Amino acid sequence: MIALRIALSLVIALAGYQIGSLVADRQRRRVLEIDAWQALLHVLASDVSYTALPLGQALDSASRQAKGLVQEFSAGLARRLEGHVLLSDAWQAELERLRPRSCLTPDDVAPLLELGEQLGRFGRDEHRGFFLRCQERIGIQRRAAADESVRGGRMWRTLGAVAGVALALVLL
Amino acid sequence: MPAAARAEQGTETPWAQIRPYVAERLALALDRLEPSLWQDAREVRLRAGREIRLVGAGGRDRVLGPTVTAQDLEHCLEHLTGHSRYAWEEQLAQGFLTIPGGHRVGIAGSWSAPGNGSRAVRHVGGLNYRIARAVTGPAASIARRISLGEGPLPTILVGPPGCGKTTLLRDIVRAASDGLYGWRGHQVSLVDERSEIAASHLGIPGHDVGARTDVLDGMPKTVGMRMALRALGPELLATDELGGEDDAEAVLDCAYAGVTVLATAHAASLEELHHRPSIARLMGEGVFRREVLLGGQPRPGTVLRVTDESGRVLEALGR
Repeated sequence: MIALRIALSLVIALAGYQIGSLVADRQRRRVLEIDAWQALLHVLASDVSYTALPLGQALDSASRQAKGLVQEFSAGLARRLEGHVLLSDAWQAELERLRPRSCLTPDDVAPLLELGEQLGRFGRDEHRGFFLRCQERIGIQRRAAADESVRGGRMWRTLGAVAGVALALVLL
Repeated sequence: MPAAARAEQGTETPWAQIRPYVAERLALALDRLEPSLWQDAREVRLRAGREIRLVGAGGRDRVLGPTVTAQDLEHCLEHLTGHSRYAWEEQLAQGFLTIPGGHRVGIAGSWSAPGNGSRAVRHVGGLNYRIARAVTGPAASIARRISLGEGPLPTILVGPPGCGKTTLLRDIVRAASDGLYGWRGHQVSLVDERSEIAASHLGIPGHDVGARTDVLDGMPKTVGMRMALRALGPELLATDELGGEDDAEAVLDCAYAGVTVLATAHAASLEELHHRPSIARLMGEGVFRREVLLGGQPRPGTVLRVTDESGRVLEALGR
């Protein structure tokens, strides 16, 4: 009976650690997602500023290099732009579609939403500025996300494990 | 088949071709128009703060609701430029865009000069969708008078604006290229500086200019004629609106290379044309062997006179 209790306590402690790990993993994936966004913005900025590639084609081309949700975003937006839609509406709709699966916070998404409002209506020089500013703002979010991932990751795993051990001690 | 020709045959209406480039709110209003009105339509005019105007043949216009807003016009321009105004900066600087079907959209509004000498549209105040119509056949009436043997002679089409010079030139090009009216098929280079002859969109002609025709779209005439001469090996070269000395030099280069040149020029009469030094020089060199004077009455494309290189009237028509 005691052996069973010990085994159950270990399982509870491990489960707590796993829950903490899941939260920590979400932080890590947030950083990776921001990295993917930065890569996409970099490619789009080059295609728009230097080769004046129309946005639909630039997104389609960039989607072949992008990863994960960002790949879905660029391919999905390129498809939407083939229809009779406005860029800002399509951009926002595509971000909304992916939001449930995204690890980005509202503060991470804000610069992206703003970018969608600006694109397509100005010249190449202005676009270079839009992409640069968005990359800078996302860069700030990325540094914050990386800090949280390191500190928060350790904290959530420890918290999970401690909570699990505490629960196990109570049960014992 | 070029889109303008499909529209002419009724397989695709001009409105179906234009609709993707109109803001949804305005498109919904235009959807309600009777299809028969589009058969006669020449222009759709959108001006900020005004209602939509559908202009028909003879300039008669029909006013339609709703009132066009500045935002509607911005949305139209977004559709016209494929959400990428930056990709069309050069074309926008000319004040118009050509869309599939050969329809041309003129832009009014405020423009800025970014500093590199070009102009960029900042605020759109109005858009004029000019509906292109592929008119085939007008060359048939003068083919015999401008040819000797199996192809057209070097010819200049003359007339005031709006008299159908470009339409006739396009049809002569098509006929010479496809081998119609007793001509054999010729390799044709068409230098279309202002995209008015072939109405190309993304390099593809919107009008039928013949199976053996290469189009240099948006290319300055003087550069395009010499480029075609070097690279495309034309038997016949066509271009629109000859003007200054540079144009005349380029035409002479082509003529000396044995290429038949077809061109148009603005002038109210042949006498007025001959007073222009550049054209007078070409005539003196015997570059053009036929001059065709066109008039706008009773309808555009009316041939008033055809003369040969010595000024002899071959036939006075249309009167």
